[in-house]
Amino acid sequence: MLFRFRDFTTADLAFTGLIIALMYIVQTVTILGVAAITPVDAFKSIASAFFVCIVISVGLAKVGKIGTFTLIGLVNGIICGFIMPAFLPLLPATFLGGLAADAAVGLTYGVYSSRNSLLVGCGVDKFIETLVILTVPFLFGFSSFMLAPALIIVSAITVSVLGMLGALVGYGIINELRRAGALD
Amino acid sequence: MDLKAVFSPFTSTPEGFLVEVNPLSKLTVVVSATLLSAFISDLTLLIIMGVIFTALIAHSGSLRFAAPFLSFIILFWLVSLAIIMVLSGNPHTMGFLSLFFARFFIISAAGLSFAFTTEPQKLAESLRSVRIPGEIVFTLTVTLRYIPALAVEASSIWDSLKLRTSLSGSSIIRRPSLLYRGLIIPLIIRTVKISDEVAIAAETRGFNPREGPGGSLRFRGRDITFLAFFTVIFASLVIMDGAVV
Repeated sequence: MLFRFRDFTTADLAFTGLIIALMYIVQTVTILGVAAITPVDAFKSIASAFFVCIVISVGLAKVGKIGTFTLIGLVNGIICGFIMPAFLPLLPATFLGGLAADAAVGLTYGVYSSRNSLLVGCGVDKFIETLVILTVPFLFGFSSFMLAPALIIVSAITVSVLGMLGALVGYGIINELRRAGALD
Repeated sequence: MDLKAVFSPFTSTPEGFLVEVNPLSKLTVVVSATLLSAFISDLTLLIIMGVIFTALIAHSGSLRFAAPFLSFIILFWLVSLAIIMVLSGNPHTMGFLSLFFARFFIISAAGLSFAFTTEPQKLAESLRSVRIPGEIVFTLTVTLRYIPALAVEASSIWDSLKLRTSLSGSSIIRRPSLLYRGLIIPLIIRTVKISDEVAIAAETRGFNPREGPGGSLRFRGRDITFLAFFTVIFASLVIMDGAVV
């Protein structure tokens, strides 16, 4: 088995919960600006990927355990899917993204500690998340004439690269906080 | 920025009949409406569904908060149709676009009708009652509790940054290093401190997320009435859609 939720301590869960709250605020504030241009959630995800990944990487580095990204994806998906913006397709998108990231990092690095593990985790999560979000419109009648499969792949790669850049900045923050003694 | 308005689903007090309905019953209706909207191919029936969920939001007294979300979808629906009409005038493309936006509207309206009539803590309690792992419910509870609190923290740090630098909000955004040192780092340090306090408080009380009390929410008469009402509506829509096709 890749991970078990029982391996998480109360401190891990409390920190993950707060990181999700912070991440949610960051993505809400970011997408508010984009919402003035488009109502389509995919574009909002693209805009918020960089900033959200800064926060996620801090959470991943502090907790370190495989399964953290799944937990983040699941809880964030429940909130985005049922409370605000209450758009149900966001739940499978964030959950599958987190699960794929945990699987990728679990198989290659085993734990979230090094810079590269954070980059891979954030990159894979954003790639899968965007892929799922952009595929959903087809199920609801969006024509392939308007959104070509090649465009979906390009968007997913763009978001993935933005997410990795965010993780890189997040890694810088982690090092700074560790040197200052604010983070274990 | 009016944070109370931005995070209204977390801070508003819901009212009306739907508040008393078990969140799991409402979730069943939201998921069913989402799936059903993908299958119904008649625009009129989709619009009827959208009107039903908008009426539910109005009944809960939250139409004012939900209006910005829903009006954006309608606005872009109309703008997209106008653009397509001017550029090509192809009725086939316009039909596709209308169906897409109608479904998008239904998913958002159904989700918002749930969000504005369900207290976040009741959602966590209902998830516990269906044996969702305690670790997930605990994390969700912490997140829901601290979203409004951290939003206020972020606002205070932002205000103090503006005060110290004597710059306007837009000038600060143009200087990323200032944003990094003045907003992101203090906010993360504050998050670490709060999480330590929450964990210590929970552990000193012997709290174990795996052994938390089970949810006390039960199915009552009003839940059955609510589900029966939507079953009839959804079944009627499916039959009418079949008749139309």
